[in-house]
Amino acid sequence: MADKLIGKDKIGDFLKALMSKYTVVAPIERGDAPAEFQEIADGDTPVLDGSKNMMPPKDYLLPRHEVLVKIDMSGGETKVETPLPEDKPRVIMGAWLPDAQGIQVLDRVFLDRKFIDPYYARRRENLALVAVIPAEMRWSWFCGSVDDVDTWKAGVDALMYDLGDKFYVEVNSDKGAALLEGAPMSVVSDVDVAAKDKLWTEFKNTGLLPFAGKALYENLAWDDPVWGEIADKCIACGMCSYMCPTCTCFDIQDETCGNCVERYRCRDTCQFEDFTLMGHGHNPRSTQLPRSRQRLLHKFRYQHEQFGVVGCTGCGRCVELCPVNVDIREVLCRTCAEPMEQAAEN
Amino acid sequence: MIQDTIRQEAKKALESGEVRMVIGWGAGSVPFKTTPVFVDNPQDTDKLIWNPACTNNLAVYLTKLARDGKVGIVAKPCDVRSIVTLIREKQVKRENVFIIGVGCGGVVDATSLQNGDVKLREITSLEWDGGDLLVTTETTKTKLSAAAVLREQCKECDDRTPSVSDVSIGEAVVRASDLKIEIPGLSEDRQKYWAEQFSRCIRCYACRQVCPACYCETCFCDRIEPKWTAKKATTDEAWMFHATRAMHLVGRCISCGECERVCPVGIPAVELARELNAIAKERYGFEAGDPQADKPLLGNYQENDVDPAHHSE
Repeated sequence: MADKLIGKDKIGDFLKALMSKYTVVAPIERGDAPAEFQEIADGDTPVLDGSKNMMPPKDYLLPRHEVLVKIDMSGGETKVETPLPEDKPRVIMGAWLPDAQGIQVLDRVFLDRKFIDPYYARRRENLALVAVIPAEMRWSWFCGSVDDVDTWKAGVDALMYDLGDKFYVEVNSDKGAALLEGAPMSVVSDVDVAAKDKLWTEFKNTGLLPFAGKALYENLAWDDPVWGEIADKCIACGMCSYMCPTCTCFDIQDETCGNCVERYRCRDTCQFEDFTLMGHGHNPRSTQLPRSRQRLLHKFRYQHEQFGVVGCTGCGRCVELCPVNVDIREVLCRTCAEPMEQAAEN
Repeated sequence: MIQDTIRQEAKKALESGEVRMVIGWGAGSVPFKTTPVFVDNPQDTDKLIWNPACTNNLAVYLTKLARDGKVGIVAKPCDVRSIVTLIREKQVKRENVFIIGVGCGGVVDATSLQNGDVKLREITSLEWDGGDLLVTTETTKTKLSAAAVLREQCKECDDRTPSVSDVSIGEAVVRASDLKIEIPGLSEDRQKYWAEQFSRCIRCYACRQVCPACYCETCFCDRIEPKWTAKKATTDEAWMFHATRAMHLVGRCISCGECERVCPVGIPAVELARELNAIAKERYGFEAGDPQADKPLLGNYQENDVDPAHHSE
């Protein structure tokens, strides 16, 4: 399908038509709270231009609280229920391209051939992804430094470029074409193409740092003194991972209520002391240093070794939000400038 | 200049061996942020900085770092109130802290700068210019009114110079009374208001971790036996966490506002503490962070104390 334009004044009608066939998930602002990716209903006005995306789309695909199993023993017999999400066609609209790439990382973890997570799979199977390149790049982005962003386009079904009063829409798959069929769109002019190319170049060049294009996984060493320096100031909250579009760690807990048991999944993070606390009291990561090290090595080395992807898309949330300004970009710059010899790990 | 004096005092304290380390603010990864630094060598004292972005309440590090031996800490008046509380509650020994107190006219919420014409990525420096914030980029200088950029807690803070210090530096430039701004009180429909706030909580615990008064080695909500609150991010569980935390902070929260600053979903946790502190002041005449009080609020029972159960509004 050729590239098309859609006026921002037509987005409302387009969404309405789309909602008759798909469950549309997009950032919605409620009150003063930051916009969250939610299923939109009639009357909602989602923010599709990427200007309000602080909460990552991960929150929809991997909810912060999800019941996995319900066991009910109240009627004398034991009833077991596994409440899988509804099987329905969905589309995520208005996700930053780095967040769409983040979903590719989640896929590696939850849809790997050996272990398919049925809950995640149910939401993901029938999902189309429409990403956005906003008119203004965020100061904290460093996407082009962690990966070749041109390859990210293959992971989305359509990509919308914000050109002010209209979006330039690039369709990348049959799914994307089906989604946009019948949409009130017009043909693109050379001027539009030039504007889109300019925005793409800006995105590619945003936050290009000395480590761009380098094999980060080769430079992050177990013994680097930088882990201790991060750990000194890190206050051990879980914000960097809870807000991260690719951090996937979760906890599973059972809750009893009378004759019922609910087994649920919720977020967890390697930054918390009890994350690695064993039942018998031993904690293999007993101080903050190994915890700080774990988060970065997992993203840049272990995930690369396991899945061939880097677990960071340069979205900059942790850069913007860290309460003590631990800036992952600085850490990467440093480990890249002074790579340490890989020592034996234990 | 305040910054130079901070460095000199830190250097003196390190060189004389009075302290083994000075905790202060250092240059952040971007000019509109700062980051905690721990200086243990007199030659490194030029890492210490002072500017309108020195937001962090560094007292949060004292329980860990001032346990064995004396450390220096650069502290704003609000941070000093935290230190006073930690000393009163015997978490830190007074003789283990060397307070380099800095007069403060309020600090800036960097995210509020985004709303103006200023682009964050272009900022090269932030400084006070009289009552205004001077934002410099490579090509422009923009003045923003303090009322527009100060953190909420700073707007209502009257504590402009540290109440306790070993060295006191500088004077406040912006006076709180000059720009006293009406802070909305608690919503009338409290239940609904707080349910909405807590429904957004992602349980990252940044509010707790950044709080100097939250020094418990194991937080009640991390306990498994007994399990006070579940880990899941639902409104009820978040309510349990925030309400219990607020009750634990009565007479101890000094309204530095760090919890609000770091919350990624904008929960105004400090509103709860402010309300509870107001009650503590009204009923028991206790003010959090007041160096005159010799015992903690909850550690100072008097026979004639107001009994909340029989207290009529």
